[in-house]
Amino acid sequence: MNNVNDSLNPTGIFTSLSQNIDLTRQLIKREIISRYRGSVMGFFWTMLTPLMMLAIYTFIFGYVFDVRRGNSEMPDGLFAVNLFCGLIVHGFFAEGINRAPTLITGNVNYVKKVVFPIEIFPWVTVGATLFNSMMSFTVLCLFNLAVTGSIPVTIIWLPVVLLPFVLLMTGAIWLFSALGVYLSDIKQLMGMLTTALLFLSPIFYPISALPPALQSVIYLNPLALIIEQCRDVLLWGKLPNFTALAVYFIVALVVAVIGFTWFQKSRRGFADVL
Amino acid sequence: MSCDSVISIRSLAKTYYVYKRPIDRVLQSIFPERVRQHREVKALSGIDLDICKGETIGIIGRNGSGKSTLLQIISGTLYQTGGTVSKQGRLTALLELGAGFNPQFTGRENAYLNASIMGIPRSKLEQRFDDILEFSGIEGFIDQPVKTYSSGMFVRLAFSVAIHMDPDILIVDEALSVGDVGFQSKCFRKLRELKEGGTTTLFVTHATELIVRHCDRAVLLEKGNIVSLGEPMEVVNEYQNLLFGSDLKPTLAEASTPEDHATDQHGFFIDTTIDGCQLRKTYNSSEYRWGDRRGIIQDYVMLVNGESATGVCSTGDRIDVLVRAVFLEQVANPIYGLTIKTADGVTVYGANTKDRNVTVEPGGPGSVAMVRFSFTADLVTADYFISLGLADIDDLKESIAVDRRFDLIHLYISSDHLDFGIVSLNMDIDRIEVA
Repeated sequence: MNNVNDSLNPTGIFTSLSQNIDLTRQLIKREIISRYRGSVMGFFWTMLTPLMMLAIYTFIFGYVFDVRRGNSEMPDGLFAVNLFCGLIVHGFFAEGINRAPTLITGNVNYVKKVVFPIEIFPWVTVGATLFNSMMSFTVLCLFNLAVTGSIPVTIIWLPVVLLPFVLLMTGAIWLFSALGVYLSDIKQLMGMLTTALLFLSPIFYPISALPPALQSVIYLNPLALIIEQCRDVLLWGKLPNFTALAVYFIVALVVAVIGFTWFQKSRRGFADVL
Repeated sequence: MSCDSVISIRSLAKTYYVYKRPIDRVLQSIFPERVRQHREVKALSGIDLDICKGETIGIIGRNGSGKSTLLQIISGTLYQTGGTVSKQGRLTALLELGAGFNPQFTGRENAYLNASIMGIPRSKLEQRFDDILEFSGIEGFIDQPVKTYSSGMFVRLAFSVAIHMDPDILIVDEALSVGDVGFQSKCFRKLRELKEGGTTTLFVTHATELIVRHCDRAVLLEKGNIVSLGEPMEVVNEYQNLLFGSDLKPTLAEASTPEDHATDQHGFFIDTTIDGCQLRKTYNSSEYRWGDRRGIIQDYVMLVNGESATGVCSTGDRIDVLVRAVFLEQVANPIYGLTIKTADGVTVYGANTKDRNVTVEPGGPGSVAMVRFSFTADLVTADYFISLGLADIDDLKESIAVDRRFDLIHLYISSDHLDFGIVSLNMDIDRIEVA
């Protein structure tokens, strides 16, 4: 067995992951460590960065601009937390998606010089960015604890909220990383897309602030539901909307299958163009 | 071939499609029915090859002959466009040493990751780690980031990891040409050990003597086809012919010389206005030439055992190199020299007219001089380069390069036996009867 999974069948998404789970885990670890390798504060940066961000948001949006119009029922410190929660989800998505177009082109050695299951790269990217997001979520919850004095028990539902999102992201990365090998335009497109999503997602505003006609349309944005659900379970102590998440999961699965199939189909040509 | 075949290749072909627009390639792969405008580059075609268990196969060929493409397809990093490759057992490919290494991480961390890329469980690596460390000889540095390594250390670690993974099939692309001689011979010892354990090895190299010494069979590729397969020595000789574009049998250079390049009784071209050297079959186009050119080394004739040479000769042959210099300006104290070097630049032997106290005429505008160098090719099987030089001595007794043509002549010396080193000392080995 050469670690190469050529199969085009959709269940390959999971078989290739389970076959290479050790390698994936090692690569994720390496990806996380390599970011801070050689720096004095090392791992501390993973916590410090989100903490700094949160402090800035609290200051800017809590004191400089008064963006709490229409949210007067929200306690003072919580606006920043609410905003930060949305930004974490967006940051998670943006980081993963932005890396997709250069994921394969930046790892030419793994394509051409070693026999390597390159289809696990998207898992590695998602895994490493998920880790960073979890660090941010931790900071978020600690801050929430400091402000409100408690953390809602519904926090245990966070994995259920994130699972379909992770699947969708991985699928999208398969799709865009393979396309990025052939078309360098994808890189530009991703930058544009993620910036647009920052403002088209309910991050700086609640969905309820939108005109009623747009309120259902915004759920076509893959981030909208996840942001809302994260806030519900992490901040407001509400149970997640299981029906909505189930639908989301099915859509994510379809995207992942399409992405994986396309990746496996087009990878035969990677070594020829790189 | 009747054997326990571990790799069997049938009518393998690889064609690269070069599209005008990048989008065409994407569209083609999604909708293969409609053919879009493209150019085809055939890298391999109709390759049939069976490789037996425990065999060591060397692949040689000129640049662009398809050697690396073939290895990459067998390894699985490149996909063929036709034919089949079936392989049995676990394969380790060293297409580029240390390709999966991350400079930020320590040697130990990289070794572990490299092993898991090759599908080796962590426990097995732990068990073999001391061997790997010992083989690589970098004990003191294993916990340092790889970026601090010298390139030699890097290569030694990478090779050491790969070779200790007990592969069934080992594929090595040019990787053995790195590292010092000591490490190289250690590698070959290890390869032999693996071979005894049943590992099949395929390697690509330009060092023909390695093929002759270490392979059971050799494959010669030319323009994507196998043109020769069999005994390493025979295949290597055919490769030399390909390089020189001539027949092994000594044919008189004069016979194939066109009328306008008629030659004199020594074999020199009569026309002294051309650079005769470049017309010689043994001429090495990547020579390095320098000097003030007050005179030029305009032509040479090489004879093997008194006959016109093709660039291939045998150990012990008598070689004559006749040099003709044409002077354009005054050269008061000309010195003629000849040096023989190995392909990696080690000087084997050199001599010149000054140190030998050979009297030569001063050169003046339009004058011509000829010098003969004769020597015995007591050298082991390998490629050698002969440099010719013309120098002058100035008033301060300093030597000035007039026309030095380094690595001007390419000579391949082959021997019946596999003696190694550089010089052939005509060794005899006998068994002494025990009384």
